[in-house]
Parts: sequence; C-alpha cells; structure tokens
Amino acid sequence: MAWLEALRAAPGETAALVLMAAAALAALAPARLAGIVAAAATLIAAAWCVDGAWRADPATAPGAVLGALAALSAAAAVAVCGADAIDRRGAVRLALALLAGAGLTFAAASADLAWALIGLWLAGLSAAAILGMSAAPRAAQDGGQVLNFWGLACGLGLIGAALQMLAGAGADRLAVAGWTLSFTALAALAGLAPLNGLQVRSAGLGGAGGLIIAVAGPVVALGLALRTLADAPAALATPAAGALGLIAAGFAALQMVLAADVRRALAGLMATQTAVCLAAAALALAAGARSGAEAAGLALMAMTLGGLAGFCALEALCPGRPADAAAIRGRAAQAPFAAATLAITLVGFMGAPLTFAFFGRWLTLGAALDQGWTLGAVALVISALATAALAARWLALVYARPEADQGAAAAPAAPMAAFAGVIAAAACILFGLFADWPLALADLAFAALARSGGP
Amino acid sequence: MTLIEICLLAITAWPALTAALIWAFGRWREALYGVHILAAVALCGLVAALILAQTNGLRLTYVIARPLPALELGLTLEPLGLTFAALFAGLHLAIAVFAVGHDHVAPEPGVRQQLAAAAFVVGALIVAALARDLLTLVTTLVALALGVFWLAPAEGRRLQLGVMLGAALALAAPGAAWLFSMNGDLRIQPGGALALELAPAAAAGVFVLLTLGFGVSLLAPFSLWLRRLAQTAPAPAAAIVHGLIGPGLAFLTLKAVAFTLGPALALAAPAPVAVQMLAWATALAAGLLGLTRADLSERLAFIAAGQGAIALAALLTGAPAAAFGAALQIISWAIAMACLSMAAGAIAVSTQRRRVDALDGVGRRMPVTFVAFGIAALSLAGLAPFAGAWAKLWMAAGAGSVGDLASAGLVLASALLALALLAPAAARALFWPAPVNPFVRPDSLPLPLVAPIAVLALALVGLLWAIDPIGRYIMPELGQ
Repeated sequence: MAWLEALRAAPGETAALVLMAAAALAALAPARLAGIVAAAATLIAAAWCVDGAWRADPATAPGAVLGALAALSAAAAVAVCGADAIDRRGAVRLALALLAGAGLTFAAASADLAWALIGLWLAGLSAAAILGMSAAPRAAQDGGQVLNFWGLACGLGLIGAALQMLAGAGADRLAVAGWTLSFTALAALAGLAPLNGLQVRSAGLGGAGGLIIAVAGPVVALGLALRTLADAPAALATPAAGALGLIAAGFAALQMVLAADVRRALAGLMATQTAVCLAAAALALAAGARSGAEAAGLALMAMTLGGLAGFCALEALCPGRPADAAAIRGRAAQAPFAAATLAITLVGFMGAPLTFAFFGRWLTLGAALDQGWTLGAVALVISALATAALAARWLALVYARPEADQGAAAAPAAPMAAFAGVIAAAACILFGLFADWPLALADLAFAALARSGGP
Repeated sequence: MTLIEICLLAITAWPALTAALIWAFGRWREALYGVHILAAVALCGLVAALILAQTNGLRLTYVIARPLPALELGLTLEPLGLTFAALFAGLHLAIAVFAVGHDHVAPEPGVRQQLAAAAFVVGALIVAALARDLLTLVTTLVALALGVFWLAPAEGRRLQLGVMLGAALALAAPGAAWLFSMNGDLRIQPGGALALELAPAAAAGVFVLLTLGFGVSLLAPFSLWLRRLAQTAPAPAAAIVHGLIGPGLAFLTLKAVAFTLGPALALAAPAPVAVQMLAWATALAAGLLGLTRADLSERLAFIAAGQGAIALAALLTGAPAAAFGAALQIISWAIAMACLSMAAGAIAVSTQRRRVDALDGVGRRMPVTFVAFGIAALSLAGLAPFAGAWAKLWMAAGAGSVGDLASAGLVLASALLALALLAPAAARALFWPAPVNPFVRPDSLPLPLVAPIAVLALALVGLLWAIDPIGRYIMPELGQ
C-alpha cells in the first residue's frame, strides 16, 4: 500500500500527527475514553518511530530514533497524568500531554532546526499549561515562568537558525554567531547545568508537566544540540562541547548532592548524564572517534529510559509535592516495585555493568582515555562518586523500616506511574544485557558527529 | 552444552534462584531452613564438580553475557578461583547450619531477608572467584554491594553502599576501562594481563584504581562500615561478614591486582608503597584499638580489620611468595574469623555474656566452643601448627625475599597483636575456675549451633596437611 509506505517513510512526522489527533480526541471525547485514547496513541506513535528506526534508513533513522524517545516520554507523561482520576480537567491535561508529545516528536523528526524549535515551543507551551492547571500554590506563576523561559530559548534559537540561513557560504562570523545562539538555546533547553535552574524547579513540581520540562524536553533538545554540533565547524564545536560538558558535570553533581527535594535531585542527576553526552560528543568531534558518537547516542537513550523510570518511580513513591528526601523513607514496604525501579535507575546512572547507562559511561571513559583527555575521565569519576553518594542516601531511606504511624498516613502509590517506571527500568536492564541493537541505532543516529570530526 | 557448562550456568543462576526460593518459603520456618541448607549443599556439589573437572585437565571458558561485541562477562576454571570458590561454598554451608541452630535458640525477625542476602553475597563471591575478566569482577562487586546492603542493619546501610558502590563504579570500573583502552581486552590471567613495557604512570594509575576499587573497604577509614556491620549484625550475619565478606573483598583485590598487573606491579612504584603504608597503619591501629575494647564482637571486628590489611600489604610487596602467603592468609583468616564469630554468637545466646572479662571459666562449661575459639585465636596469631602460621610464615618470608624487612616485621607484629587480643581471653575462659551459674539457658546448645564451630576449628588444624597440595595447586597461578 503506497500510502502506508509513505507514512512509514516519515515516521516522526506521522507519529506527531497521530499524537496531535489523539490530543484533539482526548479533549473532545468523554473523559473516560481520554485515558484509553492517550495510551493507545502514544504506544502507536512509539511503535511507528521504532519501526522507522528498525528500517535503518540513514535518511530517516536519526529522526526516528529521537522521535521514539520523545514518544516514549509522552507515554510516560500520560501514565503520570493517569495517576489522578480522569475527569474533564484530567482529560484536558491528557490532551495537553499528548500535544507536548506531538511537539517533541515533530521536533525530533525535523531535519530543519527552525521547525524543530517550533516543535519544542509547542511542547513547552503545553507543559506550561499543564503546570498552570495544577492545584499547587503559585501554579500559575510556575507555568508562566516555564512559558517565558521556553519562549525565550526557542526565540533565540530561531534567531540563530535565521542567522545561519542568512550567512550562507563565506560569511563565517555570522554563521558562527548564529550557531552559537542556537546551540546555547538548545543547551539551555537540554538542561545543561548551570543553565538548568528552571528544569530543576519544574521537576520539583512533579506531574506530567514536570516530566516534560525536566526529562522529555531536555532529551529531545539534547539530541538536537548534538546534531547541531555535527554541523558546526570542528574548531568551534569541539572545545565548546568539551568545556561545557566538564563545567556541566561539576555543577550538576553539586545540584544533585545539595538538592533537598527528591525530584530536583533527579533533575540534577539527569544533568550529569547530559554532561556525559556532551563529553562523548566532544570526543567524537575531536578525533572522529566513532566510539564517541556511539557513546553519545547510548548515553542519550539510557538517560531517557533512566530518567523516565526514575521520575515515574518518584511519582509513585511520593505523590505529594514538593517532597524532600524524608518523604521516601520506608516507602519500599508500600510500593516495592517503585522502590526497585528507583534502585535500578540510581545504580544504572552510576554506570553499573548490566544496566543500559553503563555503556554510555564506559565508551565515553574509554574514548577519553584513548584521546588522553584525563580531565574528562576525572570528571566522569567524580560524577559517579556524587551519584554514589545520592544512591546510598536514597536507597538507605527508601528501604529503611517504616515509621510506626507511616503505614496508615502514607499516600497510596500511583499504580500507573509505577507501571510505567517498571517498564522503563526493565528496558534499562534488557538493553544492559543486549546492547547491540541500541548501539547500532546510536551509531546510525549520531554517526554524523564522528564524520564531521577528526583531524 | 556440556555438563560442566551446565554447572557454571547453575552457579551463575544460583543466587537469584536461591533468594527466590527463600522468599517463597519464607513464611514456613522449617521449610525456609530446609531450602537454605539444601541450596548450600547444592552449591558445594557444583563447586566440587568444577574442581574435579579442572583437576582432570579441563580448561573451559564460559561466556555469561556479551552485551557488546567487544565486551564479555565470562567465567573460567582456574585453580586459584576454584580454591576460593570451595572455601566460600564450604563456609556458607557451615554458617547456614549455624544459622538454623541460632534461630532455634534465639529467633530473630527478618530472617528471610538475611538468608536471601546471604545467598546473594556468597553467589556473587563464587562468580567473582571464577571470573575470567575485569568486567565480571566489577559486576560481582556491585552485586556484592547490593547483597551486603540487604544484610546490613538499617543504620549502617548508607555508609556501606556509598563506599562499596562508589569504589566499584568510580574506581574499579574506570580502572577496567583504562585496561581496556590499553589492551583492547579485559581478560585477566595468571601472571598478569598487562604488558611489561607499560608506561609507569599508566601502571600506577591502573594499580591505584584497581587496588582501591576492590580493596578500599579493607583500609581505614573506609573499613568503618565493615567493622560496624560486624559489631551490630546478629551472629549468623556477623559470621557472614567475618567469614565471607571481608575475606571475599581481599580475594577480589588479590585477583584483580595479581591477575591484572602481575610483574607490572613493579612499574607502578611508588603507588604500591603508599597503599601498603596505609594497610600497615590500618593493621596496627586496628590491633591497638582492639586492645582498648572489652566487648567481644567489637574486638573481633578490630582483629578482622587488621587481618585484612596485612593480607593486602603482603600482596603489595610484589613477591610471588608473599602473594601465595596472602592467599593462604585469606583462607585461614576466613575460617578462623567465621569460627570465632560463630563461637561468640553461641556464647552470647547461652550465657548473655558479651564482655571479654566476663568469660573467665565459662569454657569449662562450654568446652567444645571454647577449644574451637582458642584454636581459631591461635591460628590468627600465627602459631603453629594451625593454618594461620603458614600464612604468616609465607608472607614474612616473601616480604623478606624482596628485601622488605619492615613488612616482614609488621606481619609478626600484627600476629602478636592478635595473640594479645584473644589468647588471654581464651586461656582464662578455659583454665579459670568455672562460674557458679554461667548459663541463661540451662539446657545444652543444639548440635547445629556447635557442630559448625567445631568443624571449622578442625579445618584450621587439618590445613596443616592440606597446605602442601593447596600450594602445589595454586602456586603456578601466583607466579611461583
């Protein structure tokens, strides 16, 4: 069937359309149907992108890989929304989460930076609306801040993209200025520390809005940032990625260790993974090292799955927000699967073998040692130590004996969020055991980094 | 798939399978213990089958997982690993029997979790003993950290997990990555995997990362968690800490350093000397601090810290004889400390006496336990004919053979400290007049509580005859 083949040839765009249609349906259909529509749409969108990646067409696979990550994030956001009873307001929230997913998937699939930024803007707008609808105090102000930040970053990025288009061949300074603007905007949206204040704050608010701003949006923005690195002159991109990666690793480790709120600490942990990605990209650009490009891709995929697992686990363990570390004390007794999910996420982000995140760290470390980039290797070691400190603290708390009165007082675990977390954690283990396919995808999606780099 | 490959697969799956069975049967106490002991017996059988196959000349490599084409997790049959696998499996069986007796006398809550954790710990150690490459060793270290987390009382978990996971993933894993970037291979082998034309800085870097990654828990102040865990855990868990976890960490360090660096250790100078000095400081400080403690479990924890440190220090002299001595030291230390901690547990449940100065004459009423206690104490002090004597002798002679007289002297000093810490208590318990009413429990202790203590004491004597065959079996692996 020609129409089916045409749709398969543009997996990201098709997935975005599916999500957008589902958003409209969820907003208009009876509230009870909204959950079913949302779940089905996100799964179809993810499957469509995975199919696109599976076909391994060099033209569409990079977008499909990033699109699949975006669609999976949308599915997790829907699961987090589904933690609440779905009434009319809940259905609107679901529709907004789907719209955010559509924006992210579209951004991921776009070959053109300007369109990608418009997709990101749509996602930011939807997330801000979800945050604004929250019953939390100052919700409207939080939503407004997200709107301002996201708008400013996307606006700057668009100006940068326009400058790059105007520059054309030969106008180097204009092109460099344009690239710098758009890369900075994407880095800010990707949650690169210390530019990630808003992501950390939004993560603390929790819910689907927090998940989109702190996990899904940054993943897609980071993927786009890596693509722009491949298009930039190596003399500019390599030091930029290397230095930003190092600085970000340090700031993110501090954010992670010092945060009192568990979701904010998780956002800091995500930022350490962002730094790993950038460091890997720098290595790929510096020496044309294919392992660097593969490491960047694997780290991005692992960061997505780990971030989704961790965020969903925290939603299940401490539905109230904001939640300091004491809120997870003894929660393993009431929510054992969510606690196990959190444990897998933490151990994985430290780089434990047989977890997905191990490969990103391993390949980056190996490439750093091969290139003699000792500072990068030391930064990776320090970030692993900081993660160990966080993991030890949280696991000791979550598996502590519950207080005598805690059993009755504790909020019930959110089953949908816990389920989504368990699926993501299981994927982290599965890809930790069999990483061949993700490695091939990472190579396919980010090989441009290694191609554009090298002496 | 051959029978031996099935055995290796079964050993890999054993911890998860046993933990699952223990969890499933946890509600029924008798069934729980039945599963625990049967699983321990099965593990001993599996290890025995592997030893039999290896001694019959079978050289086998088994790949557990190949997550990436260049990265493999695998097991291999080699004498040093099999010797330690047999040690860990045997000690696990003894401690399992002791746990049944202990629970019969003094039932405690949370037994199911402890037994599952014990299975996880011993399974991780046996896989580590058979590990063919550094990645498998790092993976087992992470598994060990998670197993110990479940074994530890809630108060000590944060420190334990922070130290063990931090060391495994921030030091040992980067060390493995460095080796991989130099060799393109993670396989470790007797005689060392690194080339001798290595740059000194690289050798020193790999040495520091691997030694501290695997052995940092044996060095003060990072050994604090191990000491606290041994002091606060119930007797069966304390026996696991003393008999399996501490010696297991020392063995992992031995395997990682000896099988990775081998003769290239000399290139890493002066890093080994720095770590060695830290080990000696740990041994001496632990011995001296132990003398100030009157609580028996505290004193045992300090002795264990010292014994681990001297094994590490001897290994770092770089002499093959000292490495062999370190291997013997780990074996004798594991058996003696398991025996001592089980004896301390038996004494505590029957008399409620925990202070060293309260044991005078108690040995006359508990002769089997206290004779075993005395044998284990003398073995730790390095007195012939007990197993510890040969270990101390080889360590001192090995250190002396490379001109490291300070290390040789310090082996003897630590032996004297161990003697001062335990021998007077054992002698007073056995030879002082019996107290009028020493028992809280008037009936005698059940056989499962006493038998493992006696068996381990006999093993410390029996090793006198076994040293020669063990030496011939493992010496080639250590460069002799």
